Amino acid sequence: MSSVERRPWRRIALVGGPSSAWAAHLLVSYLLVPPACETTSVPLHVTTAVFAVAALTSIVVGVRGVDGDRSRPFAAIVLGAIFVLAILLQGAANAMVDPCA
Amino acid sequence: MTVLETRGDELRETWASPPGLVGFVSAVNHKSIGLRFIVTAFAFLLIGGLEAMLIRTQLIRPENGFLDAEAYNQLFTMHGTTMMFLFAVPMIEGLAMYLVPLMIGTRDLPFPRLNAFGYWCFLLGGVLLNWSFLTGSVPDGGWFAYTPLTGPEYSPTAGIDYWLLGVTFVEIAGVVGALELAVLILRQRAPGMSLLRMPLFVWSILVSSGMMLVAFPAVITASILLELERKLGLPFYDPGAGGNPLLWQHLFWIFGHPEVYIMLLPATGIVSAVVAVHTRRPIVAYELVAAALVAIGIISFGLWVHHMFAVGIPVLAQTLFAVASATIAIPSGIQVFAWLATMLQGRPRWSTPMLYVVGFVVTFVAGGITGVMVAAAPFDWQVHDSFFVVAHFHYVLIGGVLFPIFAGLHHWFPKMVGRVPNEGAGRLSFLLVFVGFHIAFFPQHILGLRGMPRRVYTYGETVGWDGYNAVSTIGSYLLGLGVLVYAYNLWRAWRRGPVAPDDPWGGDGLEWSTASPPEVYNFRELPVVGGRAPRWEPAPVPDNRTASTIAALAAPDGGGRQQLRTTMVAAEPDDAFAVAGPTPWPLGTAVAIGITLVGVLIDHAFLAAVGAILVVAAALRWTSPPGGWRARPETWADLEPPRSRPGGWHGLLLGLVAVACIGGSFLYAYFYLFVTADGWPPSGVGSPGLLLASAAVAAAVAGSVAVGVAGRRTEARTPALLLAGVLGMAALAADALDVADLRFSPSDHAYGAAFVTLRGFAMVVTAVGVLVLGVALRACLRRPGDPWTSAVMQITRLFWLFVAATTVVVWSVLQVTPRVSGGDGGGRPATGSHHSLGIGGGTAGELPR
Repeated sequence: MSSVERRPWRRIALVGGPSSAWAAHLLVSYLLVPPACETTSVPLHVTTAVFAVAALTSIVVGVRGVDGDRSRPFAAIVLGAIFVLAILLQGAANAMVDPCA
Repeated sequence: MTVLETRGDELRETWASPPGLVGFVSAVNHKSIGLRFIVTAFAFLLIGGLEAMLIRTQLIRPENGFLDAEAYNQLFTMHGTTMMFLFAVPMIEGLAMYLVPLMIGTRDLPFPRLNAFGYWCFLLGGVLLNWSFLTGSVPDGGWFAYTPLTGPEYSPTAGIDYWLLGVTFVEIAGVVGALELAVLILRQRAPGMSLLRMPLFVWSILVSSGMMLVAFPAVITASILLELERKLGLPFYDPGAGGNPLLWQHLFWIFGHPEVYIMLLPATGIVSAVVAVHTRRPIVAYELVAAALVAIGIISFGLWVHHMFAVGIPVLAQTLFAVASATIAIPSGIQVFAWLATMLQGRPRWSTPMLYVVGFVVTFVAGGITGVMVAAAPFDWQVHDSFFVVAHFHYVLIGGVLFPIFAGLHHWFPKMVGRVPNEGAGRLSFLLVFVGFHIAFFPQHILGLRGMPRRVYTYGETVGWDGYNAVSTIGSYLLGLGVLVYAYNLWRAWRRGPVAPDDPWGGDGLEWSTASPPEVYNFRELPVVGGRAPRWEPAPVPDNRTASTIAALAAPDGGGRQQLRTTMVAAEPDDAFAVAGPTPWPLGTAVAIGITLVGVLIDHAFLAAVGAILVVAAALRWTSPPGGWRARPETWADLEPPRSRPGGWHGLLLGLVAVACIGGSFLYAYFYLFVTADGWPPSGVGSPGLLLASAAVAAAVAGSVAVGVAGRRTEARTPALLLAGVLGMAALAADALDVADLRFSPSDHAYGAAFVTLRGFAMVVTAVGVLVLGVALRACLRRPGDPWTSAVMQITRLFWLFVAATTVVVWSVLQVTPRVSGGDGGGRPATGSHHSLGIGGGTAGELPR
């Protein structure tokens, strides 16, 4: 059995971590818009920070677990980077748009 | 006769379908079923295209009387429905079912009977939808069937019922096809074909299949809820009784937006395959393209709200989805640049498939750019429901899906039929289709910007839309002519085209190493793969284990339809297993479902009940193992035992994912209505009873434990299964008693409707669990010690874990929510309308609970 199939969770972290973080960030931010209007936007920004860090962490953990062929993690890193970028862009929207509008 | 020829005859005999009509209705081979999907979907393309011609003819001049408003509504509804549900997805699935087993080097799909069942469901669903034309009650609520227009008040005729039941029938076919393809790709690739050596078309089908399993349940759920409202008066979408019409939009677009990419991703997979072969070099940045497919598949689930920018969602929430919508342009761009780079670095052969690919790139990029435009909420507000949007999605769907399908059909036609289509006719069809398309749809951008709304059957002479509409209609005729030329070219080639060689294009994939058309068993000896382009690379030398496995599979030795199962990531040989052969019972099961649906359609409860009983009977007959079924012939005794679970277990797991998504959609509906309704439960309705509901859950969980014991202790199997059956039936009885004693009517308020629906879902899952126990018990009694029985037991255990989880989750939700929301007779206090997050009308931006 290959090393990949013995340690699949690192692959899963690499591919699934950033995407899960992005999906969670989108949904949590969506749900936090009304309270942000009524009280403060801080939870929105905290959400962005938490999920961006989570996405980056899963990339790092995943890459460290993949040995051998360096070209393989490259695609997964790009994939993760797309989701990190999406989180940051949505975080920028949180910072720039009035939640009460 | 040589040894190889003898083995070929044995394999042919083993894998062949019976001749004649019996063979037709009982065929299960992936190539037969795939071709049926393709031909039937193409027929629906012609029907949908005819509907489009009629629509465009009506709009060719102002104040036209060619169609009246009612007929126009029916035609645009059926056109959209036909193209989305009856052409695009089934065509993609048909191509995948035919080609993927060849591309990954296996003999058939893992569950051939399920595959046949999917086809019959698709065919009967399509017939049911179009039967409405003969009855006069044609669906007329648009292909997305928005409530309240499609509710019982505004659509009292049976047209919408045809739509809901037909679409649900067709979506069942989509789900089973997706399940089949996902297990096939993950567990049956040729030795050596690791995930990162799969053809990009296979990657696209894998991602698309996963998306179908998650997305289709949402529209199935939405349809069930609407049909319950229409037939039984359960007010899910009626705001006057705690329902909410926007619930439909959420559920529909949670399905609807991924649906676009479910069609588009395989189309891009076709493009990758055609570009590689016709430029005679591997795709540039293969891994990035594969990653882009995965990224698009995931991001597409975060875009559904961008179809709802006009319903009153806060600007920030819209911006979040606008950002996600724009983000999807990044992986799409990666694919486009990879194709362009491949074309630049290769030696393109400007054949018909390649021309369609170039047409695709041009058109898809244009459609993608307008997609980014409408992803910006302020622009979307301006062009919402205008012809600009019509132009945009036709650029994406015709340019992005139809062009690649035409490229792929021409590309693989010699392989599938053994005849070569005429190249000149192919180029002529491309010219007509490409030019006609742009003449038809480019002016619609301008029409939209000039304010022409979609879905209006005519327009005035003074608004200045007549010239653009006339041009658009002429373009649509050209497009239609091009499609006919294309179809005639394929039909003519099929009848008397030149015989195709095995590899007419010099292809890179395993499919080109088979005969044209392939033998019924595909490969006499299963291939071993050492790279991404097996035909362009030297064949690797297999290790001993792989070589002995392949040798064993090359000789059936009376072991039935043996297939090789490989590991999920690295595709190392793991086990051989036998798949079931031809049977008419998939057709019987699909017909029984059709009888049930017709009974519902015509309000004939007895007919529906008879149909339901027939469904169970046919399914039980279908699942019994055919005579002579053996998992491993004795000659395989020297091979290592399998290291992983049977394929059926993985199939059930994916099936349960789809069922869980249906349950999740019911939960979504429950919580959505919980948040938006004033009072949950409504005033005067107490919290649900605890005793019987808890007893039912306890019995279901105990049943699951008993099934677990049956799985672990062979000597206790029969009594443990019997005990589990008794517990399952006790759970159903407790549930039935509890529901019969409810103190509210499900038709009075959305609370009651959602309560009964969730409870009913849990009961259906438990009832199916009891039936599964019956199958397991039969296997244990008739074939103790058989690998079949072992596989059935593993599957039964998994299903009963799902039964237990479902009942616990449903119990928790139904018991907890009324109590935390101030239930117990008083109901949740009225809070006013919930404007926020687009979940209702009103003014307040109140936080949902």
